[in-house]
Formats: sequence, C-alpha cells, structure tokens
Amino acid sequence: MFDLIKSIAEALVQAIPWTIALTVSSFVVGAIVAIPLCAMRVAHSAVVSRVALAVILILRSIPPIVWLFIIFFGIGTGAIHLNPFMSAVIGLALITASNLAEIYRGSLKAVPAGQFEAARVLGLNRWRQYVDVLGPQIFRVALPSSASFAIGLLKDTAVASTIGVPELASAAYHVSQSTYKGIEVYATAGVMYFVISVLMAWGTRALDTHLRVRIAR
Amino acid sequence: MQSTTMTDLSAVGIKTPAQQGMQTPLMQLKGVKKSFGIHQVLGGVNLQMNAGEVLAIIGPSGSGKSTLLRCINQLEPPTEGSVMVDGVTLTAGSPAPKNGLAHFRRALGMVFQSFNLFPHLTVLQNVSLAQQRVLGRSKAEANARSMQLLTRVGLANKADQYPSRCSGGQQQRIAISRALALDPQIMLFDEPTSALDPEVGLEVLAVMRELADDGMTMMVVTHEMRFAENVSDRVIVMADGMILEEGASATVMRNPTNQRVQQFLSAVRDR
Repeated sequence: MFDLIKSIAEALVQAIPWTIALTVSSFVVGAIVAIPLCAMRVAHSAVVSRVALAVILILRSIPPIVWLFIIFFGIGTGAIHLNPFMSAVIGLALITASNLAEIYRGSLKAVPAGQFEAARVLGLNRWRQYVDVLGPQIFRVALPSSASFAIGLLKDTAVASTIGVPELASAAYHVSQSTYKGIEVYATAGVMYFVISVLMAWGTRALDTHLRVRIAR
Repeated sequence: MQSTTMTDLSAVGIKTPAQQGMQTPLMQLKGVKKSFGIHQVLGGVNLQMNAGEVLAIIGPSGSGKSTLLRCINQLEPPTEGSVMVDGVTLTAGSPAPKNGLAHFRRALGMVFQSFNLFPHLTVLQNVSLAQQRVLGRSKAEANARSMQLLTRVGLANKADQYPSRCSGGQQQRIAISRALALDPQIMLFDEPTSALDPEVGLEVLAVMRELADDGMTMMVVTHEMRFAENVSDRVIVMADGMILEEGASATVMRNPTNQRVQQFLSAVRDR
C-alpha cells in the first residue's frame, strides 16, 4: 500500500511545478492588470467607471472553464496561436484581475481620507501619493483577501487540465487511467492541493503578522 | 467686511505685526465663498496676512473655520473668490496659473487635527519623504534636516519608531516637523490640539509658541483661548461662515464689540 502511494506521489509531484507556475503567473499578471482596472472603477468619469464595472461583471460571472474554452478554442486557434499554458494563464489572470480590482477598491476605501489629504498638502504628485503613501497601505489591507483569492485560484487551476495543461489534476487523471487506482490517486492529489494551500495560508499569515507588528493600528 | 485698525500691542508685551498696507501681504483672501451643494459654509471671507504674523481663528463649531483653512490650501477649492499666497493667485472658476497649485503646496504647511502621519513609515521617513520627493533633497540631506527638526521638538529618540508607538502629542509634534521640513512660508494649523488630552496639548502648544517666537507666519484654527490671547498677534472670530470680529488679539479677546462674539467668549473664556 505504502509503495503504491509512493509511486503515485512520485508521478503526481512532477505536475506540481505546472500547478504552481499557473497559479503564480495568473496571480501576478492578474494583480498587475487589476491596478488599472481598479483605477478605472474609481474614476470620476461615470463612463470610465461603468465600462470598468461592466468588464468586471462579465469577467466574474462567466465560469473559469468557459473562459478557458473561449480563449483556447476561440481566440487561440484564430489569428494568434496560443498554447494551452498561455491560454490558461490569460483566462485565469483576467478572472483574477476582476476579483482583485474589487478587493483593491475596498482597500482603497479603507484608507482614511486624512492620508490622501496629508499626501496632497505635502505636495506629492499623484503618482508619488500612490506609490509612497496609499499603495503600501492599500496592499496591507488587501493582503488577507487577496491571499484567500489566491488559494481559490490554486484550485481553479485544475480547470486548465481540460485544455491540456499537464498540471496536477491532469496528472491525476492520467495516472488513475493507467493504474485503475482512482481513490488512491485522487486522494494523493487532494493531499497535495491541501499542503500547497496550507503553505500559502501560513506564508501570507506570517507576512500579515510581520506587517501588523510594525504598524499596529 | 470692514478692516480693523491695529492697536498698540507692544504695551501688552506682544510683538507687533507689520502694519497693514505697509508691505505686500503674504496671503490675501478676497470674497472667498464655499458651498457644499446648497449648504453654504463660507459666506465671503476677506482677509490678509503679513509675513511673521500669527493669526488665531476662533468661533463656535460649524462656523467654517476649518473649511477656511482647507479653502486656502485648496484641499477644498473655493466656490467663489480668490486666494493669493506669496504672489500667486488662484481664483475660483478661472484656470490656475501654471504650477499655481504646486506653488501653494510649497508655500503652505498644514497640520491636521488627526495628525495624519503615514503609519507604514518610520517617524524619520515621515518627515523626510516629501523633502526627497518634492524638494529633491538627497536622502542624507533630508534625514539631516529631519533630525534637526525632531531634535527641536524633543523627539530625536523616536526617529526609528513607527508613529503607532508614539503618543498623540508626540505624533502631532512629528506632524509639525513634517510640515516644517519643507520650509513653508505659512503654517496652517487645523485644531492641532483638539484630539489631545489637555496636558498633552500643552506640549504641542509649547512647540507652536516657539515657532511663533521664531517669526513663523501662522494661521491657527483653535479652541485654545489662552493661545489665541497670548500667542497670536491677531484674532478672527467666525460664525456661520462669516468673520464677526477681527483685530489685535488683546482687543478682541478682552473687549469684543460684536454681541455674539461677547457671548461666545464669555462661554469659553476660561479654556
């Protein structure tokens, strides 16, 4: 029994870098794209704000698997060629961006108005206000919610198996097909997702505590 | 708005501000009005300040004192009227002269009731940040200037702490240092001691008094009647967005002519 689990684990572990690469790439790209999206969402112009709201709603209300099919089978086979990994990253990053834009927006509102005013009267230009004063505070408020989303995203990367990215869920499928050991294989894959999730939660909690100890307010 | 003539202040031991009209004012407000929707907060304020003057603005809550300060530094742009600071005029409804707002930001230092220090930066970084980003000072230059100011307000030992580790009085003194570090021509104080316990407020008032003695031009919205009477050269009493009385601090505080001002002052006399 132990040998069986060990060989299954050895087969599955090779897919973990794909899962992590998918999660990290999608999250990083999404976290960056979310910044202009959030900026548009809070823009004074009603038109710009509504366009951003519409984009966010569309991105969020369609399931990840449908987005991946639209991008891979739709766009990816047309004018531009996209491999499965790129398609998955684009799809998951867009979904991440729409969710993080809303998390950023909430965090922006949580920063006291006095911080904006102090930054303005000191003469900092708009870019500097955000980079030096507001951004770091928004980051701290957004961290726990963003981390929760990232853990959800880790699990959502399993849908990339449907378009052929050899990540953990995909590897589990292939191993179970070749060994006829369904429960053992999927339980092992489940444990692996669990371990990665727990490590992510610990990591962000440690970071959060570290930042809180410093500012403590 | 009629201008009030200056009485002889040297007789009561207060330094005399330069006589109005003798020099170009450092700051001048003409017909400044501010409305939020249909609610008018400032009903047309005319006012001027000369270099080196210390002006206290007192009056009941909701009289528009803080809004007046915020209109001067354009945190709340006036709905009507003009504000001139150090030769540059911003007029409501007209395009601002090039770099006009930047000029205002450079010339005006602001201290808030709630301090508004940046919680993610150390005390030293709080004071140095805008020196580097706005004035283009090197990190070493900025830090040297910051330490000089922090030493002056007695907080050099807090330089590497975060603001959350400092008391309210300490935070306000840091906020004053942060504003002074940019070498403003005029310091605006918006109820700097209102969020503090009375005895903690005293340490902040002591710093402000020292600043005044050093010749800093200051405009102070305050509920501290003793500060208004003893430190400021001139006092303005506001109510309902208008200036009710204006004049040398001793005169206004001891012998106000306006009946409403008399009532207000007798109610708060011993603060």
